[in-house]
Amino acid sequence: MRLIIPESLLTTYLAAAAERPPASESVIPSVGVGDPTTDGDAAVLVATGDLGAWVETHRVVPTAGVATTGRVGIALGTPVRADMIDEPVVWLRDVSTTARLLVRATYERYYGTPVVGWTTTGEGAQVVVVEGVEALRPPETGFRDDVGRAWFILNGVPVVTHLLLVPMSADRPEVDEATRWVQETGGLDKERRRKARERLAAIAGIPAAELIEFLAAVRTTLEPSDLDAAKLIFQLARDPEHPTPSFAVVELLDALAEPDRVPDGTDE
Amino acid sequence: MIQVGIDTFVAAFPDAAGGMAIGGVEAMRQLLERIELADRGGLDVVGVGEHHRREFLDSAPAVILAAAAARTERLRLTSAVTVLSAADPVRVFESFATLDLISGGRAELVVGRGSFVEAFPLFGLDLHDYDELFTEKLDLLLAIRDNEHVRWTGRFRPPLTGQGVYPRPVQDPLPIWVGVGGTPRSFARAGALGLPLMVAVIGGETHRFAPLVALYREAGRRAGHPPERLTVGLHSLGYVAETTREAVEGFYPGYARTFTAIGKERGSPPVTRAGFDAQSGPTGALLVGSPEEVAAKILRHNDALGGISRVTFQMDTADLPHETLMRSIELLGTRVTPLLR
Repeated sequence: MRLIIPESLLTTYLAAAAERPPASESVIPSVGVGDPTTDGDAAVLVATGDLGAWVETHRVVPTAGVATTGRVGIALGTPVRADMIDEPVVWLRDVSTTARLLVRATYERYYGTPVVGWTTTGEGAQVVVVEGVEALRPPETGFRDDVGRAWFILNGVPVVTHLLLVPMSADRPEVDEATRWVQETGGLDKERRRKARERLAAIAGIPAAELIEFLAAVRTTLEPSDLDAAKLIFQLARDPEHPTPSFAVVELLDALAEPDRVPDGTDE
Repeated sequence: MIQVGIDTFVAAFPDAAGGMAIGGVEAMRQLLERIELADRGGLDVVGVGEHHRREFLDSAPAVILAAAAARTERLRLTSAVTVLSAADPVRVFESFATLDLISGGRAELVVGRGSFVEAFPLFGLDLHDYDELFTEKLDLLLAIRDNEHVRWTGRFRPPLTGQGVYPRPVQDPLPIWVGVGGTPRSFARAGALGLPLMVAVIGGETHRFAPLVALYREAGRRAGHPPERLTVGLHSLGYVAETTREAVEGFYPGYARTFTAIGKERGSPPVTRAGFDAQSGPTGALLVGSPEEVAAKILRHNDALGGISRVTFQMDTADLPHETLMRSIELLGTRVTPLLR
């Protein structure tokens, strides 16, 4: 089964692992962005905001994905402190749906002011949403606040940025193999992680120490409660264009396993 | 109804040059101004700690509270906490009974063993007797509260042979709470004595104290005390600003400095931003945020602990400027308190 891994700041290690030759034939990872119309037979690591597009063909694996309790690489850039802006218009500058949802879910509660307008052109905006390496760079002027920090303080749960999805038709060994691959970051060792960081640092112009701190807060094994955290992004964002999706979930083997029991009241 | 208050250690932190950023006179003037505002602004209680350290000017809480009594009309005035282990209960009672007279019946005591230990060598006490000292002195303090003339013998103080202890307070009985940290035995003791409990939660997650609070209530029930007597208060580090962003970013630098310094003395690692963020979250101990977020958090803690009657904000350990603290007190009175009633 193919396993598609998107390239992003938070999936740096996963993408680096996916570029290596596959260790087994049952899961063949590659870097890219999946398409629900053509990748119905592939496992996909999907950005949480894009989950809705996959619910017809895929199930969610509740134990693998990408989550962080630190910065998330989605930030607000403002000329003054964001909570000093009275009637903010927010520019969603080429950002992902996840970024859009996270900003919607946090802005008013954290900064105390409702957003009066959203724009994709920048017109009239005092707040710009930036994503990826730019979100980690210190601003040349003004302020830059990572949204992940606000989310965590407000909700006490991690930001779940990606979920592992498997085709409805995938069998148990395939699901397990894909799950393991994501949880173990494709077996990427310390040295290869360092190289991946260095490559990114060189491209992005961010100090390696900054990237170490950022990536250290990222985990790829999810807890069952993390699915609720993923749903919470949609619920709090209340974005009419992206309602909370209903999705099928792969049942956990532990939950299915029945322990051997001796019924009460028998003669044994 | 949850009463809302502020606690203070009268912090006066050193500046970069090692001197005091503001002098003691100014620190006291500012503190009394904040207490006056709390009184006018609808808060219910002010607590003054007791330390014997350079950076906290609260070694004589009853004196500070007496000054506060003269400038306020409504606020309950309490210690937070009186380090009873290191004090003479007769003198403690006399001071707070006097405060009760000055304030027209608004004095209270929260007594505890103390989380700092400077008082022990200062007053010639042995830290090995940490708990026994408290047990014995609390026994004497309660005896004095309940009886004008006391016959009492103990290990750490000369006996009382029926002498009177004066003045007698306006309130009968003078409210005496037990301040506790995370020691189960302390919770059980307070319950068994039927004394109100003030739980200091300055780190971790508040709901994790629920089993200890249940232990307190169970010990009280077994000792035959009615549930309404077994009240629970919560003391936490806190700071309210107009927005959560302002509160968090404003509180963190001073908090990190103070608790990293305290941690160094106690062998704890430095404060990290990630740890601070976690504790600022919905279930964390820090009551830091916008009025609405903080009120919601207090109500969550109230549910988790099976009902609290009082919450107090320790605000001055983060080295925030006086004007900022004034604004925070105003927000507590005008925007947090109404949400809790």
